[in-house]
Amino acid sequence: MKGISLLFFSLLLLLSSCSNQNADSSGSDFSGGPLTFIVPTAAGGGTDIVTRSLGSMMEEEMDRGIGVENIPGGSNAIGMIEGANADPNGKTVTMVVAELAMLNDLGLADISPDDYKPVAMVNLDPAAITVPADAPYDTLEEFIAYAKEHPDEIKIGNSGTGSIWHIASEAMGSETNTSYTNVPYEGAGPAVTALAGGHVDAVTVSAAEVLPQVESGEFKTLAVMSEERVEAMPDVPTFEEEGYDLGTVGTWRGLCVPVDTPEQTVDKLEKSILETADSKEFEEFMNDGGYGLEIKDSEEFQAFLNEQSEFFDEMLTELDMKQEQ
Amino acid sequence: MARADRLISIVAIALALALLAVTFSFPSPDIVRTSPGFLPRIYIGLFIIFAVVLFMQARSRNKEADSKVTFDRFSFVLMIVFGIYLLSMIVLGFYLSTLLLIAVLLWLSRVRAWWVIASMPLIVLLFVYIVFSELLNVNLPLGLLFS
Amino acid sequence: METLTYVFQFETILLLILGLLIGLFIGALPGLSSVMGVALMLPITFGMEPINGILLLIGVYFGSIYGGSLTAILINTPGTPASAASVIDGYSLTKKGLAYKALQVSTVSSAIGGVVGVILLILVAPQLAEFALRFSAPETFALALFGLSVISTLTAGSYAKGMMSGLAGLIIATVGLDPISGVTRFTFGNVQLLGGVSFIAAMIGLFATSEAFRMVEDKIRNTDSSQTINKVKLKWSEFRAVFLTILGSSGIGTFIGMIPGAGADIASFVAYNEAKRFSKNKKEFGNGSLRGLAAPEAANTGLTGGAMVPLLTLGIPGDAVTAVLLGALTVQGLQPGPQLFVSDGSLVYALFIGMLLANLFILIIGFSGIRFFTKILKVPGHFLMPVILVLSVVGAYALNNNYFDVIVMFAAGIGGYFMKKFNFPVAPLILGLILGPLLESNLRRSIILAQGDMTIFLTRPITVVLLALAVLTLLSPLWNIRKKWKPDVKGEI
Repeated sequence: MKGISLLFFSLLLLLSSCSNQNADSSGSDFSGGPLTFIVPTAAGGGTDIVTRSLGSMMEEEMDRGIGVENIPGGSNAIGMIEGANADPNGKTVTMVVAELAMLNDLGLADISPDDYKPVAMVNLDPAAITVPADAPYDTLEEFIAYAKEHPDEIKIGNSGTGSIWHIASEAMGSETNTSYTNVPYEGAGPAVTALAGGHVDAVTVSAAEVLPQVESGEFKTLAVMSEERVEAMPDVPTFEEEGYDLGTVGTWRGLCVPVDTPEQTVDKLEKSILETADSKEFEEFMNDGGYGLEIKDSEEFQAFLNEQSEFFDEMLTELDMKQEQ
Repeated sequence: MARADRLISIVAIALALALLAVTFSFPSPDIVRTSPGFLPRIYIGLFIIFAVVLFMQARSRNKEADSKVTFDRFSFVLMIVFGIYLLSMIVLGFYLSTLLLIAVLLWLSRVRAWWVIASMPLIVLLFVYIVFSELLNVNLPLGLLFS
Repeated sequence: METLTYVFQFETILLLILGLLIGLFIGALPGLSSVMGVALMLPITFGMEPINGILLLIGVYFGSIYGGSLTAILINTPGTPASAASVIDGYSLTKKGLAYKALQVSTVSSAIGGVVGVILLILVAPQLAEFALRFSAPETFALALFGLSVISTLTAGSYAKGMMSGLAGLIIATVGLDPISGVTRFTFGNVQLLGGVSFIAAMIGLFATSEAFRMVEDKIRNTDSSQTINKVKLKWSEFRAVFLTILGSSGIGTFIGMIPGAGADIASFVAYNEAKRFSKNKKEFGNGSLRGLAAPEAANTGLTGGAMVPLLTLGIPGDAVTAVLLGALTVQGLQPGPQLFVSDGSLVYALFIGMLLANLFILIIGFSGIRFFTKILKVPGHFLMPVILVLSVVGAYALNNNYFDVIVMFAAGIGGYFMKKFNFPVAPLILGLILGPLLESNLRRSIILAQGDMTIFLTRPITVVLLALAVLTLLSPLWNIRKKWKPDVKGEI
């Protein structure tokens, strides 16, 4: 018994090292072998769940294996740095998140959208200004009027200073000429909990993250920071409809490859991802999980990245949080 | 022990003072009320106080009652071997380095039966491979040689 | 009735047991925590029936907490942070040759703790949830300080050394990105340190790796190799003596589980401290006390029921594991929150029954496995040592697929070795690392919420009580020292 397992194992070892060398000798060839999706967050979070299900659906569609590797840490910087430094053969694809456009400006890590070639974006969750159901304001207009009368009095929970939801609150403040007390939490979840407990007066996290409480009638969402209304909350207006020029502020997720990846490979990947992302199955999954489905192809994604970089640059300069590298 | 304690407290205080100096280089954004150095400075301050207490206690203690700290050379050999193993992993990859590590450790532990030295590393690696690589999808580093 | 047929299906029960076994295994491996276990199994459940998928995850969750204690008791290596407190008396019992009894106590306490947690969940979930929500930043800060005050009882001889160890943990916990101000601290330009020093990697190093370094010492080898496993079993009178401790600790665990942000690690340390506080025989703690083992074991499983309270009643996850469970529920098309009990009532009750069953199975698996688990003690040190070292590496690497965590583990291993040599207890350092972020961010968040008004810590009743308890605990050993100047006692932890 021991002998057989030994033999089996040595064979396995030999095989795995051989197959790896083969893969490498074929250089930057995209054909053959499994793909790896790098997720810069811990297993179990929204980014991880979206990537895994997209990956497993693409496995069927492409008829090749897709492994998901979580490399969390450092405000999602570590995974995104590893992904940008991977072999540019299209076999290592990284699920990038909104922090990509901010990390460099915040002086936290030497990584930016310029290190990547975007393939396709699959998800956008805009910030939503949400308050308890019994708050004395029912519309964005009333909220802003209240904030103008009581500067710094409204406490807004966010997911950490310099995080996307903090920027959202600050962006709202500067666009509407109001000021708030921003309270940082360890993430969107704890901020929502604090709102449920009445410890803060509002949160600026995504619509998906407050949906359960909004549906149960505990919270009400006053407006969302996107160009179009959110599918899950069709009755909630956008800031633009209410007369504020805020554009899109929110978290987004998309697949990217290292910047030196050949154009042909990017095209192939783009085609497979878009085909899966457009499927009914993926749409259902995204709706069930409350994730905003927003599909952009390589070109649109690139334009969106440029726009976002510019926006964050502006915001962080205004907040005096921009660090020169 | 008393001498060791005194030495430890002096080193600890020096280290703490160096860290204390670092806390003053933290940028201090005015959008939050407390500075990033606020708590580290409290911790370091308390740490220094207890290090001084340790120093005083070591001085006043009766030396006869003190136990002497003894070291075993093998522990240090093991640390060095383990350190070399971690470095070799970067080049040789996890599997090959581990194979060598276990064999070397068994040899150092005066195990001389060749079949034990040969089979044990393989059994451990088989276990790690099946559990981590196959089931949990943890891709252990393959090293520069194999990737 | 519908509920019963729901759970008592062969497939469902089988998946629950499978989950428990997988969890047990994952928990026993250093570095693989409950969160990771549940998260790794999550994708598998997507295609299953809701109740099957969720009970599989519950099995992994419960099993991993129990599994982490097995290695804590047997080889001084907590498999998950939830078992860090079980090392103290659990391993002391093993060293006395009482591993069999220790595992019995651990199994019984875990099972009872879990059952108490579920019963509290069923009976008073909505009321408890409202209370837990009242915990704002000042209360959580006070709770964290209370948890930290346990350091004073873990000092093994020298109060100054224990405090230095705890403070070192707190200082290391500040490395990385400061969540409150968004600036980096003590990273010295290293991106890997942005997210801070991984406390699980540090825990593996301090407990497991350093233990392997010590295992080869002649002195230890000669005494420990003759280690006999007494088949001494838990006596009925002993069980009765610890029963009240188990019940109390289960309650503490359930309560702390409900509080958002506080996890099994703090619950088990607080329960340990309370058991010691109410014990007549305080000297026994740290030297193989059955109470000292029963308390953290009951608390870390009692916590599981508590953690489900805000998740199910409010749709709010209290900790990382329940955050993953929330993801599992929503992917299954279920929306946790008050309406879950109405819209999917039978599923919720099936879940409760499943949780009770899981604890029953832990009892069965635990008792039938003890004989098998204790075999590990018969493995000679020179075989165990390489295995522990390799698993330390794999465990640290598997955390984040990151070599840097392996370096942290190695550094902590060497540090832990010298700390143990010079009688610095390592448990306070771990406690500082775990609770440091909770303490700091809630203290500073309180100040922001109060807009700079420091009286916030004196005007809230829960905060005042917890802070008073914390200060009392921190200062109590000083009282003893004044009474009797004790020489440096050789401590093991």
